[in-house]
Amino acid sequence: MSGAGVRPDAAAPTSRPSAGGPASPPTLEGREVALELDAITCRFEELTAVDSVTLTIPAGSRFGIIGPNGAGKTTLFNVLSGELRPASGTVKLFGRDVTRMSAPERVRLGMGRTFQVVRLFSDLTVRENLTLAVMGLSRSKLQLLRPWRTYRVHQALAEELASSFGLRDRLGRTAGELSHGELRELEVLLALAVEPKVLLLDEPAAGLSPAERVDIQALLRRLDPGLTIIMIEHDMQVLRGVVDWVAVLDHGELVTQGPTAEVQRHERVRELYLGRAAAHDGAEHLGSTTS
Amino acid sequence: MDDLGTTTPTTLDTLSAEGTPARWWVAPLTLGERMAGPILGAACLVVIGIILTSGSYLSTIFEDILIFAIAAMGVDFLGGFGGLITLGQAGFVGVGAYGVAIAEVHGYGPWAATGISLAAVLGLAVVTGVVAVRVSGITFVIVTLALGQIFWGLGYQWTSLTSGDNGITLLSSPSIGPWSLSSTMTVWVTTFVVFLAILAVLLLMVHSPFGLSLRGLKSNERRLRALGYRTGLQRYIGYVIASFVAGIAGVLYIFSNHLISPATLTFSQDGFLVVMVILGGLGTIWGPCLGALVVVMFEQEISTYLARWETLMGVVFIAAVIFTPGGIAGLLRRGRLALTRLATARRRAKPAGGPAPAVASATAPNSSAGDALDAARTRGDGDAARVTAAPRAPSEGDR
Ligand SMILES: Nc1ncnc2c1ncn2[C@@H]1O[C@H](COP(=O)(O)OP(=O)(O)OP(=O)(O)O)[C@@H](O)[C@H]1O
Ligand SMILES: [Mg+2]
Repeated sequence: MSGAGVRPDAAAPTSRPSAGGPASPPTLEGREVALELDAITCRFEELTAVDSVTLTIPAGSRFGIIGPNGAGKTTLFNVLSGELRPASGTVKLFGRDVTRMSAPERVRLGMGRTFQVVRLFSDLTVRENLTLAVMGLSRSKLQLLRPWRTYRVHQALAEELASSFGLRDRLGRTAGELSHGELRELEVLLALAVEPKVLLLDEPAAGLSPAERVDIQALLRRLDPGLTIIMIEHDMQVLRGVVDWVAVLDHGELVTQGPTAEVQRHERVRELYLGRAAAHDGAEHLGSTTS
Repeated sequence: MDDLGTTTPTTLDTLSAEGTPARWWVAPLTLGERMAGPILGAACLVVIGIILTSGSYLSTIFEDILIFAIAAMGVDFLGGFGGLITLGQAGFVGVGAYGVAIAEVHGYGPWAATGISLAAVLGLAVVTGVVAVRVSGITFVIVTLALGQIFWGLGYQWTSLTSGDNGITLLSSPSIGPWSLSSTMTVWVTTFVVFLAILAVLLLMVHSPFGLSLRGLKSNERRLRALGYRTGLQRYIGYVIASFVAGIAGVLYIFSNHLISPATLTFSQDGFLVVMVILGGLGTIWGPCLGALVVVMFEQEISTYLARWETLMGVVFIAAVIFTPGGIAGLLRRGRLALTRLATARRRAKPAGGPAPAVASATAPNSSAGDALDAARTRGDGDAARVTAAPRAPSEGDR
């Protein structure tokens, strides 16, 4: 891949606001900034997984991140959520520098996330999974002798959350018994349970059936418009249903960003996805990318 | 509950569509079947109480069993629920026992000595915990092992304080009015009462929000962190509780044995505690008490016939791990399930109005029977999965 050759012109629209290109969703100009990444670089030994990525994400925006496999999307999420410390660069959450903060501290400041490979409490029931998540931000999680009243409140909240997404009659099941689609649903619900202000979704629709994809889109669209959603997704159909702004990563570098339709027309992006399509069962990806 | 009427159709749908409804099996349980476990447990406690107060030589053995059961429950609290197996708890038993003995040697009365000892245990747990909770998994096991060995080494070599190899004998026992711990009967009763109290408190704790978060820690720590839990704190609290419980066992130990020597702090004692927990049933709190029963019986009884009783116990342990992964507790639970299943099948075989109640109870989403299944799952071995996966005897109600 001759990434260097393409970069100059591709970089133009991504350059800082002063350079004239649309660097953040224009409709949200003037809004509070939810997340600000400044020259984030993250390395695994020799490999530079994220290479000097700078992004500004206004509060309330629906922000997509795409890119081929191994582009560094998940790594970028890990830096944002505090699982990884970047080699350099800073992350600001609502204006506050959180680069050195641990994951749980960031949750306290309003960051919620899902994982690409579902990470649930698989030997706990769905009810317990959700109760744990709901308790995440409350003090009562450290109470040693069961405070019946607050615990009930948490359980009720958990059940309400489950019914909001059709997991109600699964409450008594252990998470390990759920179908793949239900696991993905639970994964999203766990992240929502901590009432995040910024929600990071790492391929929430991966491996879902078309019907389930529609479900998850519907759920995401129902969420509070004030919530900032950043979503990694390979499926352009799902992505378009949820986000209006997309950033493209490749080899850890930010290739371009812009309104979804515009980015899809971007030559370099089409090239990337063509390459991807050749390597995978990409016909549908290509179809949706070019449509 | 409130929306029972509206959810009924969907529940029925899922019943027929999925084939394995969540609470279907447990729904027809009678009260007697559900109470079987607690009643059996209570019966065991009564028997233990009778044995203890009988004044026979079994009383002494059961006293030992209860003391080790206390420490083992602490290990289970942290290991079975938090997933953190400690190999250093005998060290805290030792600190509890030495604490009392040393304080008495230095002129404190027995009550003050008890207080000093428990404070020392707590202090050491709080300090060593800072080191121990920085790591997890196998590293945690090794760190606790090392800490336990340090305690043992101190007991052995700090002779000015501990009298080294010979150990220290207890000088006097505490008393309230007519009750003095110098009477063996009072020691037995006290041990039993303390055991019951700790059993109750630990059971309460594992069902508390903190207990749930400990299980979350064992299940998936990274996810727990992503939900806002500072898992280090979680681990720390669990470690301090388990260590304190071991310290209490140590205090009881010195009042019952009147002698503490480094032998009580050895690595094999640490090992025995873990064997008790795994043999009895990890993650149940009550299981390790049965484990303690087996191990202490081996130590006291089999050892009179067989010098290499430890070898035999090792074989039993390995067999248990292979054949009953849930330990004795798992075995009991499986037996109970089989009985329940039998009873259910028999009840369903009787015709007369059979189908209607079965469906009705299956559709009640919050029936207490359903909660019973949740509780069964909560204890987390494979059995619960087996319940739902169990082939359903085709009943009239389904057609
Ligand atoms: N913990 C790690 N240690 C070493 N290398 C890693 C680690 N995590 C990721 N990488 C590497 O970093 C690069 C970026 O990985 P990342 O998971 O961020 O990609 P991605 O864009 O999420 O890809 P995908 O679409 O497959 O999820 C890959 O080459 C990957 O092999
Ligand atoms: Mg990824």
